[in-house]
Amino acid sequence: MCGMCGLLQGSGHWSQAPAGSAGRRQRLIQIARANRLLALWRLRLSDFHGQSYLLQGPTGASVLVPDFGALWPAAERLLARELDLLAMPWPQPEQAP
Amino acid sequence: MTGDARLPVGVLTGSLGSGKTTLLRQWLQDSPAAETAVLINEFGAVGLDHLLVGRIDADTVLLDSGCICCAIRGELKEALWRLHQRRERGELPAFQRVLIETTGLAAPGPVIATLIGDAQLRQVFRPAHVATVVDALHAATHAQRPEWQAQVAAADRLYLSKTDLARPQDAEALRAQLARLNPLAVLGNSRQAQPAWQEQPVQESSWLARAIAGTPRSRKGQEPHGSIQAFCLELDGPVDWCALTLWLTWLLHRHGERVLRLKGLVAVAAEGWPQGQPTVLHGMGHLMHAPEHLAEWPGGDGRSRLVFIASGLNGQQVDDSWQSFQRFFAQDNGAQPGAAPGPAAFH
Repeated sequence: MCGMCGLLQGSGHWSQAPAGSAGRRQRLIQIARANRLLALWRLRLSDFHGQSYLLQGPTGASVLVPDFGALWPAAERLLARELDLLAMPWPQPEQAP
Repeated sequence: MTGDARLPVGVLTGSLGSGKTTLLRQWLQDSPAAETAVLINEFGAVGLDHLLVGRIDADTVLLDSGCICCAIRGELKEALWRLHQRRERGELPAFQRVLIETTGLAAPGPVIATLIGDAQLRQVFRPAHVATVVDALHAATHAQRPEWQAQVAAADRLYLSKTDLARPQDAEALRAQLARLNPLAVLGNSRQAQPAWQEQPVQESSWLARAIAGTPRSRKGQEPHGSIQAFCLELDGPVDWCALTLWLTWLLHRHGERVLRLKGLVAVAAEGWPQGQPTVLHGMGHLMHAPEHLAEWPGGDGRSRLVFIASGLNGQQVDDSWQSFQRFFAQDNGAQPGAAPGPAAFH
């Protein structure tokens, strides 16, 4: 934790992008990708000071998550149900008009 | 990993009475004096193993209050940290590596978890390898126990002990069984030398070659072996790191306890790497090591592969989920920016 501002430092999670400007860009791309997926449940992820993430649920409730490892338990908590990757009803590709 | 100044930590595990301490003594005799610090964990009120490895008594910290896998994870951290501090203060010789001998009842996962998960320890130590001693005489009995399966699945190197006491055909059948259960591990006998402490890229290709040869691909159906099975997932083309991390963190969140081991060599899409940057992934249960980026592809056909050693996890389902996941993102990538695809929301 930063002693000046009280922000939690990055957790050093394996999925995290490296530090620096390239890392920052990668982090934003990662968030955009996650939001494509999370929109299926009306969840939204945003960056929190380049250190953590803020996950917002469909009712407006939000939770701070340190890394992508903690994203899924937080999403389940906000939705109050389990999300199983292996039993996922993926949306069918949309028909061309 | 080259250039890593952290001290490598090896884990020596195996069933009760399988010959761990014998192997440890042999390794210590083969190593230059005071290069290895040893932590011994014993299950029981009075620890005995530290008396047997008398030569390194001064550097030995005996964890005798219980089993590493449940009660004394905190103590393992303290013991490692104390070792580091005493080394820094010059009270102990500047040892180059640490070896943790676990009790036969312990699964090695929590030890690795402590090394990777603790913010203080991971600055100083790095997990190097897991060596598992398999008792050839009693393997049939031991194989029924979940901790034996976890120990075998976690191994980078498997040592067969008591092969001179077992019938040759039984030992041969055991070797075949172990190669199926853990194609990632090098199989040797207990008279062989200790594993390398510095993993070289050339060794990366050897585990991959073993895995490709010995692991059924998930698409070709399953070959169940007891409750554990190994399967290999092949990923096409350079892989989008963002998609892979989303998929894998999700899979491990819900099914991590079934993934005894995960190792992969993946071509990650990156600028300046038309074929993808070779990246090694290594995990155990819910935990993943930091990915290692290699400077060049270590041989093989350059295809991305993830090898799972799992208990009760269907390889075909895992493969299907990755394919669906990729299709989902490919579909989105094809959409015009700003024109929200508006996939049906799941409520």
